[in-house]
Amino acid sequence: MANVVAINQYKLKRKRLEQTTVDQDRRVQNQKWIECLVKVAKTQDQSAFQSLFNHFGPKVKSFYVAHHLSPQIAEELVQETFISVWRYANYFESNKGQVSTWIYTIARNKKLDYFRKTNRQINTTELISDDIAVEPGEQYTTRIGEELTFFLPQLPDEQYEVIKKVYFEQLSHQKAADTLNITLGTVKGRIRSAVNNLNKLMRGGL
Amino acid sequence: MSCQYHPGAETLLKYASGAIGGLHNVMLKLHCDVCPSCANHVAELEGIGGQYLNKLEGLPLAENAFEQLMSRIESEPQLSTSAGTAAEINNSNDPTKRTSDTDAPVANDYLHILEQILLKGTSKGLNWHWRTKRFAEIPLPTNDDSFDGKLIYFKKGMKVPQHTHRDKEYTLVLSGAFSDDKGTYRRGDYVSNSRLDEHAPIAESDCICFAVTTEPLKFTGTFGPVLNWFFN
Ligand SMILES: [Zn+2]
Repeated sequence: MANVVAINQYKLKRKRLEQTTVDQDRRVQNQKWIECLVKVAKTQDQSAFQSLFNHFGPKVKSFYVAHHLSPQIAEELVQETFISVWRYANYFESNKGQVSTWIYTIARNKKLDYFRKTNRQINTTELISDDIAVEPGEQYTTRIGEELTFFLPQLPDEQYEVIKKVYFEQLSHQKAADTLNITLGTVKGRIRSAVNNLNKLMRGGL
Repeated sequence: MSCQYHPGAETLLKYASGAIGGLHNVMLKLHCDVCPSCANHVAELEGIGGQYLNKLEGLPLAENAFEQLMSRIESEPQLSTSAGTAAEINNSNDPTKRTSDTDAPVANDYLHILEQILLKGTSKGLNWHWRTKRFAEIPLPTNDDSFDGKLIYFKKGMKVPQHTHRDKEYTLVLSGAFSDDKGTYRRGDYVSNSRLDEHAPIAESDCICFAVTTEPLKFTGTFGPVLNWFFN
């Protein structure tokens, strides 16, 4: 495990050097959206709300369509998502977080809600369970003196990518393999390693 | 006091990415309500979703989508949720945390009851079905056939009947505690069946658990036949 840590630290440094400007751009962008949300929350500012809608609305629609919902339903769920954005803008904690993440979680919940209302099953088995039958250490006990640190930067890039594709984009393992131009076996191996690493990172480090 | 037993990384990944619905989703939400550590992990994982959304190529919306949205917002009655009142029960109105709106589908009805027990220790007025003198339950039917849920009440000293082996079975301790020779499970702890196999646990104090299984509970062990008869 010592090797993994060393490699990760090296990568982390390199990534930080390379990405300083990218991060800077993203922060500036995010700051703009935060200001919009604050205006919506405090003064029901419709033009700030429209900026958010124009930027994120089409992306949210794209998210629903990518998750196998029809364009009509996607359009309806976009409306519901932004009704919540309007109503609950005051719940956004501007000190921690990306507006895109906040909107993502609302959109995700609207999807689950829609599935429940229409009695539609979430197709989890097809996605994940068929291949990852074992979840080593499904169960964790807290370590004493555990500190809260961000763990994702310590996950190797290629594992992060696979996790993103398989869980968040909900691509099949084969599809993920095709997109990343790697074999099916590699995809499965990386998911397994990622889950193992996450279990360790979440409970106190590699 | 913080929780000792937590869901694993794969479960949290599925939860954060919206691949777990129904009562299991409710259970994980409740665990995160009382486990800052898991709540933080989930928030960090949700960031992957945010990054995904950010990079998505948008699809064009209907031309009048924004006008339509504003007229819906203006016509739908405002919910009486000032930040103050809503924050009362652990931000239960927070749209990023709960999965349903006011036209509450089944799983959300339970959320309120379960939150009351977990967060406030209130379990008055529940219609317990007593199966023995020291053991009661309330079935929590849903329209989701993939999970079946129950509230279970054990009086102090009650031996928790062993369950049959099954793919997936999860327990969240809402109040009280039970233990086996591997450990003690207290309020907020999330325990999966693999841990409870083999060793029949015992209630340390009057204990309310929320259990989710992929199929109806069938007990083995000494209480087995009797309990199965009651359950069926
Ligand atoms: Zn936890």
